[in-house]
Amino acid sequence: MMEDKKIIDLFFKRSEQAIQELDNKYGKIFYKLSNNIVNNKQDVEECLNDAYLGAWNTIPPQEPNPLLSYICKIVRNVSLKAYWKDKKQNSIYTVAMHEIESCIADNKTTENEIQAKELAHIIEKFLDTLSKENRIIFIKRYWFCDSYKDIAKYTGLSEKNISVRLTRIREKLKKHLIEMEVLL
Amino acid sequence: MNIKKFSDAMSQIDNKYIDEALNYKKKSKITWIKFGTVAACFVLLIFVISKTNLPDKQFILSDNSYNVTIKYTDKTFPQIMSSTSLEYFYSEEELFTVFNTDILKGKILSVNNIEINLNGYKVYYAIAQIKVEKVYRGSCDKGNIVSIMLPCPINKNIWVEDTDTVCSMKDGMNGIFMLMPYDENSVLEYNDARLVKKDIADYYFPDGIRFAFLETEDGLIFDRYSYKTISNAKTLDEVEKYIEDMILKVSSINYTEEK
Repeated sequence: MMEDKKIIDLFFKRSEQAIQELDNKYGKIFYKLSNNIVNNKQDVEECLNDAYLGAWNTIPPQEPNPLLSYICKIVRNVSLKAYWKDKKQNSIYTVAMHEIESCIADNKTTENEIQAKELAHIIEKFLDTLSKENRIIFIKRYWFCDSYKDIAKYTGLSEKNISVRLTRIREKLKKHLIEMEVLL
Repeated sequence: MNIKKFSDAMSQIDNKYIDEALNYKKKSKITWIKFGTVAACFVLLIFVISKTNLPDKQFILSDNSYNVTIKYTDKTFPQIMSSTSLEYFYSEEELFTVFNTDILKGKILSVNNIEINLNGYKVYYAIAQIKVEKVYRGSCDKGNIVSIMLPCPINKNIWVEDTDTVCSMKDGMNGIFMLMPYDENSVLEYNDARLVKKDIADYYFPDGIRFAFLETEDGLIFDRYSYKTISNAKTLDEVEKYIEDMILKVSSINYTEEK
């Protein structure tokens, strides 16, 4: 596998091989991430093409380090855009968001006042309070939209354990959001 | 707030959290006792242990332990389990190389039985406190007090299979101990409960026979069968000399292999 630095060099040289190497090295990760969100083979392929185009258009001037998380972010954003266009909306992402809804939905919310960026900072503060293991479980579920089974395999814990941990993490998140006055 | 806003916010969190998740390496899990198989190994023993002065210390558990409570106990044990069975034979060299043990000499300050309540399911072990007097291998220092989780409760009325040496541990004894350090992945999980063992002890024995050398009133106790070179040893000094020689020997073998 080609080193990330060399792949970025190819982008800078405007060589289309950059896309090929990127796909060879990380294509499976991108496919899984996108599929967890849109759950449709054709949509996934379109999302990946759009994401690669996004990478092509932004590198240069960007010189991302690490490369993987940078492209994952593009893949996720493109896939979410496709997800919200799709009226069916039936994927692991749907289930994950349904889980989180119970701890963020509140009629008395200050929704109109808080911006996504500000909320992102509040979530980051929350993530910093978690143990590394729990933080990774949270990110794997609500950023990568992985199934419990996949998270269990990834972390070496049981599915039941992942389920229990996520329940506790969500409870903790709700408490954090109330403390930060995001929820009233 | 709606899920769309939450999702948008998640999209904007710092890349470091994504990198951390992408680069996470699953650590090998040390499963000390597998409860599924242990069920078949239960030894039913009914007895009353003598009343002892239990320590006042409370166990403070980390967030990674849950649905579990631990307390010192002097109660009657309805049942206790056998420890990990001695499935494997190891040569003398392998006993120093297969397990990356810390090896130290010290005095046993206390041995107390504990009850671990895993969401209603109770199991019994013991915790020994040792004052370190000399370190042959490992990261602790002379003067440290380290704690070891023993694979069974300790009492003269109890005999648990495969724990012969450990069962002889008593307050005030001197000994040489070969100990495995716990890490965050050493866990006891059962019945939707989880105990990170590091929360309650620094070390454990790979088994209850082969990793301790005890100086007792009745003479030296250790597994003479496994350590044939010193099978006639009568003093801890002889064991100490042997340990130092073996550490030197295995480290020189490793060095040669690396070259």
